[in-house]
Amino acid sequence: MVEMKIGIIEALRAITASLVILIFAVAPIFGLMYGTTCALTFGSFTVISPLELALVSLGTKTILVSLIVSGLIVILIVVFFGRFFCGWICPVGILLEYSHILTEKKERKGVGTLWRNKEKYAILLAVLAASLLFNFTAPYLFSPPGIFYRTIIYFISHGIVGADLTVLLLIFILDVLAIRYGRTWCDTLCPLGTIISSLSIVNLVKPKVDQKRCIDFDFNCLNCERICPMRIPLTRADNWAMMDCNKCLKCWMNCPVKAVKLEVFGYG
Amino acid sequence: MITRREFVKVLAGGATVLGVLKLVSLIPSGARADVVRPPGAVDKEYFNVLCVRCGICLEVCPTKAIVLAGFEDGIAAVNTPKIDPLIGPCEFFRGRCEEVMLCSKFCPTGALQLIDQEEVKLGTVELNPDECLAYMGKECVVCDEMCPVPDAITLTRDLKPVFHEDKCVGCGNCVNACPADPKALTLTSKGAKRAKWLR
Repeated sequence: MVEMKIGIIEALRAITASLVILIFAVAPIFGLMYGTTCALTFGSFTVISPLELALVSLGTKTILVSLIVSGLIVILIVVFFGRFFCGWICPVGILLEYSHILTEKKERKGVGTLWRNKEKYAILLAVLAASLLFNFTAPYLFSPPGIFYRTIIYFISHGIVGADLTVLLLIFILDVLAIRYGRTWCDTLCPLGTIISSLSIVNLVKPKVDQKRCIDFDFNCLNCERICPMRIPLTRADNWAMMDCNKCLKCWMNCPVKAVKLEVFGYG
Repeated sequence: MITRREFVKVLAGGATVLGVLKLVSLIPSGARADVVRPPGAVDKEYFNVLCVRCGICLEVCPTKAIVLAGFEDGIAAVNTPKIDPLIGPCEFFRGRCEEVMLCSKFCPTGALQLIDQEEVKLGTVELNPDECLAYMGKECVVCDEMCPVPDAITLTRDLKPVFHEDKCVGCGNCVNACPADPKALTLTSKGAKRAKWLR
């Protein structure tokens, strides 16, 4: 049986994600900020997500001067903090993860292995190539946070539910069918998640297992690997596998012998 | 790290997905493949690529005339902005966007460009005389009264509206106000003048 406490951090993550939704819904009313995670504008300053920047640049085969500064700032943040977005902000990921936690009754058998989810690189490559070769920008059809926020702002401002709902339902059905896999969408299919993973080279904040304290080999514990929503094989993960870490801190909170340390700036 | 076998697998998988995407992009779009875009939209070939579907334009539009395109407007255009004159008119020629076109001002990528209003033409309004109240013998000059463009709609001696394609800017004021049910007027993208995409 997987031991897991639904603690203060789980609540905090749900609150941050809801707050972001609230900001996106309310800020345009006061004219403070417009847009969603695809692109935001505060006054004259624009923030653009790395996936959208890549698609626009590849599709038009130019470097957009107006976007390159803000784009690089976002890319730098991603390089240092990795998939923080996926664990704390993305509403789709959090909904999938929590619906999985709440419905899970049996022991989860599947423990991640290295390179289990390399399909995601194939999907990202294909999506970027499609933009470059025949100007088809597929991720706008199925990139989850974008369609989630867009559905909400479209409904608030116009009272209309657009084409997005179909895709959103499809994502949930895909994951509900595979309810025991939790965030399958996030770690194998999501193009935004993959581009964030691929960019998080430095990845400052990540959990690390203290091999001396870990009781994996004596008791076959692997609690951290079983509860990891991104299915990272934490006890034998290299830097490449750690790129998927979404900083949910579950492994850190739930280790029975406190062998999981949080490594910040290389110190832990 | 990654072995050669895995690398080849990723490439092969990528090629397969690329093929699927190509097929998806070839799904024939509906009859209204050429949609009416907000003012300042760039050329058709670049618009779907430049637009990141962030939804800023539909948030800032004062009349809420901007709606999102659906699957019926073509698979590549899903969620791009389009003008729906039934919800509201586009006020770039006269009204709240007369000074600055808000959607173009806030567009983060330049899919909507802030160009001179004089150069904007969203499309053309077409009149269906079978539905028009004036042509049915009733008294109605609403479209002529609502039209902000001089001489785009003229009235004949017996008060029937005549539309002039070359003068019409496609703002949709007349379509929005038309009292006939169903509407006698439709806004099409025919003759639209788009912004040039400058690299």
